[in-house]
Amino acid sequence: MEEQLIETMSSDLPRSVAKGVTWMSSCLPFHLADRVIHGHNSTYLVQGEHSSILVDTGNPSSWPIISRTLDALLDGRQLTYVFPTHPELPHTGNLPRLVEKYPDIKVVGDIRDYHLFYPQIVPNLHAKVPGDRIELGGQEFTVVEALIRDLPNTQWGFVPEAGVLFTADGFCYMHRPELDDEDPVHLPGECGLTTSELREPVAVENAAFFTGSALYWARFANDADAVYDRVLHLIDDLGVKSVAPTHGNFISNIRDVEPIIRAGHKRAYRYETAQP
Amino acid sequence: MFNTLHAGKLAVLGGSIPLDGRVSWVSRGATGFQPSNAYLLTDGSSSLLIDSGLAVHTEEILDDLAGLIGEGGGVSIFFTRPEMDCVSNLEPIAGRFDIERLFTGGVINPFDAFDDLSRLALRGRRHQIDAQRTEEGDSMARAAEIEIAPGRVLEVESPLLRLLPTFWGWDKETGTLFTSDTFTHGVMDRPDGQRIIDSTVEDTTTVEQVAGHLYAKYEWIPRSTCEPLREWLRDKFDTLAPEVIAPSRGCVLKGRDVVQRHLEFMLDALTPQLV
Repeated sequence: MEEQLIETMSSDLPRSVAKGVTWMSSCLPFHLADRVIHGHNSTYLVQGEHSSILVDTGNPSSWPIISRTLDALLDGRQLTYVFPTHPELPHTGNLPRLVEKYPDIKVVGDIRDYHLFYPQIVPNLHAKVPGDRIELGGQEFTVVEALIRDLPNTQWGFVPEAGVLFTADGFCYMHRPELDDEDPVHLPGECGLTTSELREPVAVENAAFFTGSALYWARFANDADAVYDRVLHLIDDLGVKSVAPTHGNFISNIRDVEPIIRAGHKRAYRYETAQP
Repeated sequence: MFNTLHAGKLAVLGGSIPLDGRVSWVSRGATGFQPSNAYLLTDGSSSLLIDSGLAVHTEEILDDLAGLIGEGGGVSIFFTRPEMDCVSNLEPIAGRFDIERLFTGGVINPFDAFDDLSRLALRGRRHQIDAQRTEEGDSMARAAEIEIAPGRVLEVESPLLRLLPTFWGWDKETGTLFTSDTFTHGVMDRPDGQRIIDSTVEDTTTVEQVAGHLYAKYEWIPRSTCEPLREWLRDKFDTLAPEVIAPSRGCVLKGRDVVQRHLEFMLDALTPQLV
């Protein structure tokens, strides 16, 4: 029964991708006529000496395997914090189950609306704003303004010691151009690869397709350069070494990938001729 | 308590929320109370619920539903968006009523939020409404139809004006256009205030208020090329000539004059230099 009902998690994951940062991903499988493809729905566990924080919660249907993976990684310790980047089901769907499993957990971030969606977890909600820091013990988690987002109450996070920037739906992409789907997809065996390990690099067409679908507003707003210039400034200011999106492979070569994502974002704009 | 919008055909259910700085989809500083809406389309013994309201209103929604379809009755559900303000009450509804069919788009199956046993029983009742997508992801023509009862359908389309995957519904029989997270600007000055703006109500809405609500969630509008959105919206209202605008939050807008006035507000809000 479980095989039919829960999303799969790649045997390549969990995987340590930076100091104290573990990439966990359940992959939503799509069964096509001739093959199976996957869509990343990643969560990341950041562990310090005395505390830990989970970035995003994964889909509800992934809960059994996420719960088991947390048990193995935490090795008897409690999960201290969870940072939902924004309240869409793939990012927050397991919040009630996390609170049930870890009753003292602190849900941190832009927690507007959560009291309406999950009234049972109100005591666990702790509002944070960009610049706020959470001490994990030899490791810190910093709340960062989301520079690419869909829902307005989206936040990004950064772990200075590891140099990892968590970007939610920002820097998500697919790399299979022939597929008509809004989710970033990859083939089994690629779930745990970083962008520098992929056999087939990200293409502008793939980034454009995903941006135009998942970041739907990109087709109306012709400001990709302004957006990604700000992102590059942020990357420089913080000293970002790698980027961890929710719906794509872990980006280990951000300087190579950023121009492709930027070009794809520009291409997603639909109304060039309508501009003065 | 639910409000009847069209006797025997359409009712609006749900509660209201205080605009106290803890809500992301209204402009900062917004005050008053915003209705959170679910709609029940009925035809004889058949019922279709459009969205399920907020979890904080679970009891109101369930009690209203029991009053309309009877305790434990059968109901189909259509979600305009897979967002929590629309889907939060799916599981409690399943616990008290018989969900006959669930119509949703996208790749996430909301039944997957359930425990395994319930999920197994309910998964097969989901109907995908966007199986045939347009090649470039533009607005989907009114191709999908949900049968409410023999001879009565809800026509479904994906609007050009949207943020996340979203569907509008059109019920020709009551002249109602279900607009999900647009036209959400009607607020009340008290929690039990008038949740319907019609010709009997003093309507103090301003274009600034409409724009404030629109830009709070659609924050990209002021820096965007909006002409295609205005054209699409005007064409939609010219074609359908709705009598009622039924958003998933905010006051219901009822009556041809009210609808036309609020359409003009929206068109002006989609011309940011006017606001």
